[in-house]
Amino acid sequence: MRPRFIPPALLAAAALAAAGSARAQGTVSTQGFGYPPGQISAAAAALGGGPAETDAQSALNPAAIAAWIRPGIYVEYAPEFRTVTANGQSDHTTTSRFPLMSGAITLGSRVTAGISVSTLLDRTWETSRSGFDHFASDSVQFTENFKVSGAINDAKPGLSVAVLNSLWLGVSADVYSGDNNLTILRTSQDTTVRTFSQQSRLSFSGIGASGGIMWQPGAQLAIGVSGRLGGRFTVFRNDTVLTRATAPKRAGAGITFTGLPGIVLAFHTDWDGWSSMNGLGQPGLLVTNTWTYGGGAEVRGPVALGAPIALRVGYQHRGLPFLVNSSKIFESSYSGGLGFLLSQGRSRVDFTLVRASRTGLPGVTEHAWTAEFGIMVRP
Amino acid sequence: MGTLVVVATVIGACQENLAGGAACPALCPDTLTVKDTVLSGTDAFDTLTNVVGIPPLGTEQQLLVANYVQGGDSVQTAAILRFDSLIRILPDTDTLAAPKPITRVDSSGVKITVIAPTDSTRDTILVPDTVTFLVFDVDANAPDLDTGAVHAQLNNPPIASRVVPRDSVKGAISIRIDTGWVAEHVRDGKRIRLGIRIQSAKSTQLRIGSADGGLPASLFYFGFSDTSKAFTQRNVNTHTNGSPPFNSLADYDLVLKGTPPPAAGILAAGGIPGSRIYMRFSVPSALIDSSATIVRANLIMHQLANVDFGTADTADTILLQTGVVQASPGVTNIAAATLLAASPGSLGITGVPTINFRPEVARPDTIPLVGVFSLWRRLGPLRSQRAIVLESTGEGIEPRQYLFYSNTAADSLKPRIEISYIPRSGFGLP
Repeated sequence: MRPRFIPPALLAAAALAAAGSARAQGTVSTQGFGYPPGQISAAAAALGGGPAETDAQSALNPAAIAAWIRPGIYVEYAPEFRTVTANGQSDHTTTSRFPLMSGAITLGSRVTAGISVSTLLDRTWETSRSGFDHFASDSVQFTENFKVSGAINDAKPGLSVAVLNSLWLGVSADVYSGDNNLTILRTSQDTTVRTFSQQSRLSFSGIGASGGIMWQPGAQLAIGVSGRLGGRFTVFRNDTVLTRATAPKRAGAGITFTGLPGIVLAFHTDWDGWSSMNGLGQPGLLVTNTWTYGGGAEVRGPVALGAPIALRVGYQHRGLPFLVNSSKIFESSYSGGLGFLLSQGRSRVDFTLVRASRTGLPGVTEHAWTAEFGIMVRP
Repeated sequence: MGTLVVVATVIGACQENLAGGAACPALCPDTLTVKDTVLSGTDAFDTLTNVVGIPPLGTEQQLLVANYVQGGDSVQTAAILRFDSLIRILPDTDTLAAPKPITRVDSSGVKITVIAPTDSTRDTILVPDTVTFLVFDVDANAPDLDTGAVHAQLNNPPIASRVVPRDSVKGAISIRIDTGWVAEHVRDGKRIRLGIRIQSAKSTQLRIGSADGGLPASLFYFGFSDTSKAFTQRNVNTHTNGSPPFNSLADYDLVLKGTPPPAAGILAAGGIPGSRIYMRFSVPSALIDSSATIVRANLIMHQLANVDFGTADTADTILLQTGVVQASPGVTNIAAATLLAASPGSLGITGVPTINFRPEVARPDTIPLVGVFSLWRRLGPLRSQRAIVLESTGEGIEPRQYLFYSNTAADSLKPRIEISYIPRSGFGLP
């Protein structure tokens, strides 16, 4: 008999991720090995990440793969429009991301296999500055451009098994890969000065394992708990091993309540053990473990295209893993979004807008709008 | 161990940041470190020398025949024309009979081609008055490259001359030579070697065609045998003794009065005869061939004021240009290596300008070479000498010369190379 878990209407989402092109200048969020987009779907993000532990399309709890119910795929695009303000001066930049792709197929009535590829840490930024080199007899103006693009991605093949009609267990492997392409370009208008160019590439390789449960004690409540263990994580330059550390652990729990007519409430908390990456960077790199709290609500909206529109709001607060000048950075995000069911519920389009504020570094603030577009298709 | 004092310093170039991201420097990566090194003496150059006689004897594309005064100094040059092989027999009117030796000649002479200046407005400046061409017998029993013996022959009375009005000093000009003198050489199997000089009431200089330039001079005459006569003409040619044969010595320029050689310890570029400065660098491989990137390399040369042959106000502009030696390290003949130099532009190198330095001014000159250093890095140390030549655009045709101090000068006047480089950045691993 097929498990009777039915996800809250419009509360499903999936995931892959890869960083796109970007342009940025000295940001709070992309320090260290980069910014963690969160590995959650656009729909979950609209609710402050609340349903992430029970959301099929999100890449946290492998037990939630069962929530796909039918085979399908999910793709998400999430450009970020960022403003960094310091000393009364602001920089406006745009970073394009494809943070999540996921898909699943059913294997019999109790087993669902899925895979997701999501961005663990996106290190895409660019900064330019100019100055003068003073030589013995003259001065020459220069412009330096530092650019990094790339990410550490988490490919996660997993299985979810219905051990009871209301209890699912899931396991997955976490295969980390990706690279950072780094470019320095130093130019000058002076023809006696040659352009300096340096390109290098860091590659990442690592493994981990995730496990989770999803329990539906009643028709109106779903609870998810998941965790991840970190294995060896290695950074290469070409064929040379630069550093080794342990992939970050995590643990999280979430609850989704559908007991109120037309309303879904969801909350979650997450702990990420980023500090295990401490040995991965240079000695001065400071990494800290972080907590995430978030939640939100989804209400049934007007009918469009033959199905009710889901209206979503949420809030999330979390720490970011990489310190700046010994200061911990925190991110608070308000979010809202819409979800449209298509093809008689077999497909869904989600649109989420997130307003994030990143603070913690005296004198510097960072605000960002992130527009997340997710589309799920189930034939 | 070299006796030269070495100046070598390494300091971080002073930097001043003007602008960056709003949150720089707190959030931006560390700036690149620019380091400066100043090298002179044997730390900078393993060879600094003059190569005199450019172009090499006999390889001139045009032959300068000059007799003029510039800035109170005189320039006199002559063209040497060799006719080592003459037409001495004529075919008989009976084609089955053997050719007959020439017993008499008539209407003999030498024909030269005066080449018009590229700038047609200069023809009246270079040839302002009637010109008298003088022809000398310069045959001397001396080794081929012994131009001193030839030079001495030019002090003898000429064997022929021709006065040519100014307007006619162009194109082919024939100068009649005594037929008896020519006939004697033809009959007796002797060679003919002629020197061409000019005289004029005013300073005059002109260029005549050469064998290497495709316009060789020729010797002509009517030859008579017992049974026949024919007009004969033979271009300059030579048979040199020994090996290798110097075919190019069929004609060449001989400087009678020209640019004096520089004093000891002075490097010279330009002049008549032409001189080039050959500079081979000994910059440490740790700089050129390492992961560091040289972003600036300026050659500083201290120029002596040279007022010989006038100043730029009284003479044409000349420029100092840099050539990049293309010879491999296996070419140990410096004169040969000097000739194997190419312009930076032809090698895809930008930023090495041809510079309008004035020879009469004492000053330090800066020649940017960062593009050349980049080329050397790409080529590696085995494919090309790390050497340049400095030459004047007036080389061989303009007597003024650039003079520079060499490694024997005081430390402050020695050539030096100022290098700024950026070590490979550790940027990447956060």
